[in-house]
Amino acid sequence: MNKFKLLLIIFCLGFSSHKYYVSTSLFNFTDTNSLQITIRLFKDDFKDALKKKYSINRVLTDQVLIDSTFHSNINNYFNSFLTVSFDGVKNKLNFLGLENKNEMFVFYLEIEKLPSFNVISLDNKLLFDLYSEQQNIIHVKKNGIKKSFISRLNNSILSLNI
Amino acid sequence: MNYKKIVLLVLGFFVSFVGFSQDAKERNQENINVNKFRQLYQEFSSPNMFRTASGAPGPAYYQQQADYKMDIELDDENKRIYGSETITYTNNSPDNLEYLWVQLDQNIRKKDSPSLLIDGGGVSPAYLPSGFTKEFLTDSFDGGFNIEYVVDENKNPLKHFVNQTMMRVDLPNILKSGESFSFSIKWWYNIQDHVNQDGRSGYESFDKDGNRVYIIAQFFPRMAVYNEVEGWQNYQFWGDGEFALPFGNYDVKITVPSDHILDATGELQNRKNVFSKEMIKRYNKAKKTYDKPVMIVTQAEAEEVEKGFSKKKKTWHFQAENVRDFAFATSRKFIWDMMAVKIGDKDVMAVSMYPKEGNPLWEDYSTVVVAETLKTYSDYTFDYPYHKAISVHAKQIGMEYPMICFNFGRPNIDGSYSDDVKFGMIGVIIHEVGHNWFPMIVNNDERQWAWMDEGINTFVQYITEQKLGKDIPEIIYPLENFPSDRGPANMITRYMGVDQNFLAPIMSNPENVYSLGPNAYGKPATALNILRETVMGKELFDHAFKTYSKRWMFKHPSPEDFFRTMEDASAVDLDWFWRGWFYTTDYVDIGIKEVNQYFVSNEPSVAVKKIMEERGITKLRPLVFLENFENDTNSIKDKDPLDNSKLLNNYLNENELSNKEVPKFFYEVVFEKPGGLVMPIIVDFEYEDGTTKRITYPAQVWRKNDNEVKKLITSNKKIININLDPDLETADIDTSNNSWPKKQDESEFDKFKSKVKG
Repeated sequence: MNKFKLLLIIFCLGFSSHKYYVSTSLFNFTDTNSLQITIRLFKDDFKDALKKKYSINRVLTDQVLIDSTFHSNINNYFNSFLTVSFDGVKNKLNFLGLENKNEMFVFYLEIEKLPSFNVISLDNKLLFDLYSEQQNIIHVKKNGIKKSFISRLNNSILSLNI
Repeated sequence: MNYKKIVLLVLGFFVSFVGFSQDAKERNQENINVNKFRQLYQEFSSPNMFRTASGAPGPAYYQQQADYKMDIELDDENKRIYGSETITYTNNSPDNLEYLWVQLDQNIRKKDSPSLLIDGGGVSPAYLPSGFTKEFLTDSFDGGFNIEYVVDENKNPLKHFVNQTMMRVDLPNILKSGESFSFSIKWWYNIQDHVNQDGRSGYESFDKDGNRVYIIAQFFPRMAVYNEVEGWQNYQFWGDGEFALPFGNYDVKITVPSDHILDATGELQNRKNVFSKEMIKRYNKAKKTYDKPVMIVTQAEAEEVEKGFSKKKKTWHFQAENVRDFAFATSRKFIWDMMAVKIGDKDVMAVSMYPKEGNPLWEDYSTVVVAETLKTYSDYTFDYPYHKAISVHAKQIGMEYPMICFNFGRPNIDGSYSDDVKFGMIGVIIHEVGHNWFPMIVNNDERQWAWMDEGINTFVQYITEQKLGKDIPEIIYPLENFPSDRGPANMITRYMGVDQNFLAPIMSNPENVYSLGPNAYGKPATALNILRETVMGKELFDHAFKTYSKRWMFKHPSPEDFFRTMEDASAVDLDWFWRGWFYTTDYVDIGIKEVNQYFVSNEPSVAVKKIMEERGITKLRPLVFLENFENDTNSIKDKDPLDNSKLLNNYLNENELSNKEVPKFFYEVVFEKPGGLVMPIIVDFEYEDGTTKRITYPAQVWRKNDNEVKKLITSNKKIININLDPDLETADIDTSNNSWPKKQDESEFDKFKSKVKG
């Protein structure tokens, strides 16, 4: 978490000012044939995105989001902007919930009983509907090996042979 | 050495020589020194008369001096700034200079600045309307210096040439060692909107009342540094690498609208002309008030003034000695408060200036935090030598100058604010005020080495934040510790564990690293914190750190000066630490590979039997054997060692050692090191009676084997758990191998899942 807050802050401490839109997600393939997805988004960014997509006018407090009131919206949001496909077949994400970590929300999503596949495609468009400068940093972990990628508006799809 | 041995050696040499000539093709590759503990002779520059091997300035150390006399005028209506300046440059170097280099940092905002072209990105197939407008329909800002003249003392034009952000001024005569040269420059530029157009300075517009708050810096042509390390430091200003500036004395007159409030680097020379009588009365009170800020301009007064737009002008006159830069802030919106702080036997003024949009946050915390920062930094380095430190509120900037800095932290429109905003603001004020020490006084070359001020300063910032939490607990209530972003070892592990393609060593130019935040701020600050708390200990570290600060106060240190002084003042060899943490992107990962248990036996152990067989040994003299638990064929592993070995028992009795307690448990612990960094092994042994014993093996435990170290632990009590790095102080990026027996380390994901599934 801290790393990406650092990313934000440095541009303030160094010489200001340009707001840096960045998120991170970890895609972890477990020994039990599941894909565990942990996503960190800045709270204010995510609240704005949710309000915009679902025309929510009320103030969204942290607690209201963590309680299950908006979970179906959140589930829908992630399934709209984050696509995981195995050999071209899209797989639904199961949204487990979110946690409050300082200025970030941490979201937990999962796909259990993965099909056997050759190529996995990750299309991470989270918050692209809000900011064209948004960058989503993606870590993929399988069998202890970790690789990192960046998803941008013009280049959001990542296909991996793993 | 005796005679026989020499003969043997000679014979041996002869034989091996023959062997060598016959089997030349089969010889092993020679070793070069790749030991992690080898000294940094290749990386460090050679010590010399300017900079000694101990890390102190040498007998021939020199630094140049640049004195400025300036007249500045702000045109609020047109958002322009005009200036004329006379620079007197003194050549203290032993070299003859043919030309001078002057920095024109504003030129990064010129329409044709190459810095606009250096970032890649490519086309976007889709844009938001606002993004499209900004990208394609907005005229680029017409910034950069307009130089009207460069002349010598007699007003004769001087030949000069501008290369991006650097201007070469050709000298009519060679400037010899010890000589001074005075010349004048007249200039103006358009000030940019720092909220919408970025930058370290500029103005913020307040549309409601039509006012602007100006924070003005890098605003005048400034001398570049000349020294024996870089020659002229004329590496262009691209945006990320900050500044390298010589010390000098400043005499500056700034003319602004008469209803503006202004503060700047330096001592105000004409207080009676620019302050009202009431303000002077309040100022005199503030000079004697040590417990809370005194308002010099109240919010009600500022709100009254911001309604009018005076056409009259007022000139503020400042002088500053021995500073490396000059900055100011001015607006009719400013609320102003001050209090006195005792530093050593001197009074320093802690000052804040902010528009009403910063309240209630700013009136509550800013000046108090400035005061606390001045005290703590002085304790850990040297007493703050200037007479004031000002914190100015800017919407989203954190930026430092001598005696004055600009800080973010803005409440919502209704005045409410979250803890993130509050602690972010307190953190940035500590950080930017702290920059007065690094780099304003301990004046490193920021253009080349961002970590030398950002990293070192972030480290002292962490100490100050934690101390503030203890000194003024009501500020952080109900938290027990200040929520620092950087400093603790476990906060850097996520960064250090990422894909190596996204990492660069700390010893990199700030323009060329992937993410400057963790690279130049977080990682070096954490490294110093680990050095202080884990490797050296606080007493040794604090003394060495203070020695570095004092040695290089009002001087220009290079990285080696820091590295060498920390060793020189502590007698701790740290080359391995500097190499690993600063010159590589290695990370820490130390684990427990296996634990083998042994018992005392009278019978030759399986391992011994194997050796006997290999070497054809049939008989052994009586020995005390240690046998692995796995080979306990006679079920004696839990018996008393003295029952198991009569030999040992007899020996102890014969030598009157029977009062000694013989250990019952023998554990061989195998430590492995998947990570490249060497670090001390900190290990807790937990016994079955509930007690714990900690052993810290120094990092040098890895000096002969960089992959694996075995340790024999003896005890009279059974060990039930072994935990590595139990307090998470080494920045170990993978703690799943840190315990024996292996603990199933639940991932963040699994923890959450089991929580929600109940």
